[in-house]
Amino acid sequence: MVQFFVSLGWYLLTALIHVILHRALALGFGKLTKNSFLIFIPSAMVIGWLLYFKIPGTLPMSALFLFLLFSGAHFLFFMSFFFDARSPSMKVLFLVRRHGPITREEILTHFSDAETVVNRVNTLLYEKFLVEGGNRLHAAPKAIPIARFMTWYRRLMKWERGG
Amino acid sequence: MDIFILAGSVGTFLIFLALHVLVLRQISDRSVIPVFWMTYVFVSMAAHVFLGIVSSMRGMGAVPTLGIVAASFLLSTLLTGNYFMGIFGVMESSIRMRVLGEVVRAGRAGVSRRTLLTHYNHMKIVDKRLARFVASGDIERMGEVYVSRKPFTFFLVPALMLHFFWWVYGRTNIVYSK
Repeated sequence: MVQFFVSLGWYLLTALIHVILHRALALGFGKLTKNSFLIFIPSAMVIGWLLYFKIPGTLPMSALFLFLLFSGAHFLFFMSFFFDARSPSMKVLFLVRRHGPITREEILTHFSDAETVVNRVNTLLYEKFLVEGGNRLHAAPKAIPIARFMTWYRRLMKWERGG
Repeated sequence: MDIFILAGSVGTFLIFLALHVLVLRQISDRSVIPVFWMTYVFVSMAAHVFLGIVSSMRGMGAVPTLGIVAASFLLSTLLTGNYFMGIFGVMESSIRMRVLGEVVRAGRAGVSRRTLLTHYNHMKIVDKRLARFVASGDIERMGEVYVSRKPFTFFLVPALMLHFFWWVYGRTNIVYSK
């Protein structure tokens, strides 16, 4: 069990270094620094080495898996933050909870196409999943496998179009 | 012991993965998220009771057995959480994915921003979310108005986490770099 706590502590330390690195690069040099998350890769190698060769215990694989899963969850939240994915679901929920009873029309006054759709289109353009030419949006080649997976997944789940 | 924990957590997740497809294919309304987690709780409980029994039968004491079950439960829950945030949630409700799907569907001709916004806009997004929250019981529709009576809902957890991330990282995201 000691290895589990070491793994958790190592994750927290790596996350702290990542936050400092990201803030320093983003504010100090004015660069986009989502790649600062790559710090988790060498960190995983080091914790793997520590768990297998330095820290006594019988759970090296599980402890390493714990580190990877925490890092994965961190990555997903970090990406939501980085791309400013302010969730309309949360906003709807907060509006109803704080200002309810509230009508649909009153809720709609708090939303716009710019905030919900255009912002996402711009992010997709920035990430080069979409390209814009002649006033029209086109899918970039790297978007096709994702769109295919999405179609397959939604068919598997028998879902209508998402969003 | 290590392999027991790994097998328990990954096994639980794989059983859940298969079962959640079967269950969610039967759900026609927008309450897929509560059903997702209810399915996980059911599978996880059954799998970990089984793991505890197998562990005891192999001569492990009560404390190591509890340790195995707790560790396996933690790992399988994290695994499911990662799947939920990284794939399930994205496919179910991501606006970005929907936009991507609309553009890919338009083919080589592409789609103008105006056409895109006639198919998919803030009104559709809000209506879908209201329907989802009503179906899941998180809010109620009373005539023309919506109210919330629940002191806590599952949806607040990711919102609070994201709020925490904003606090920790400060103004270092794409909005401030454009």
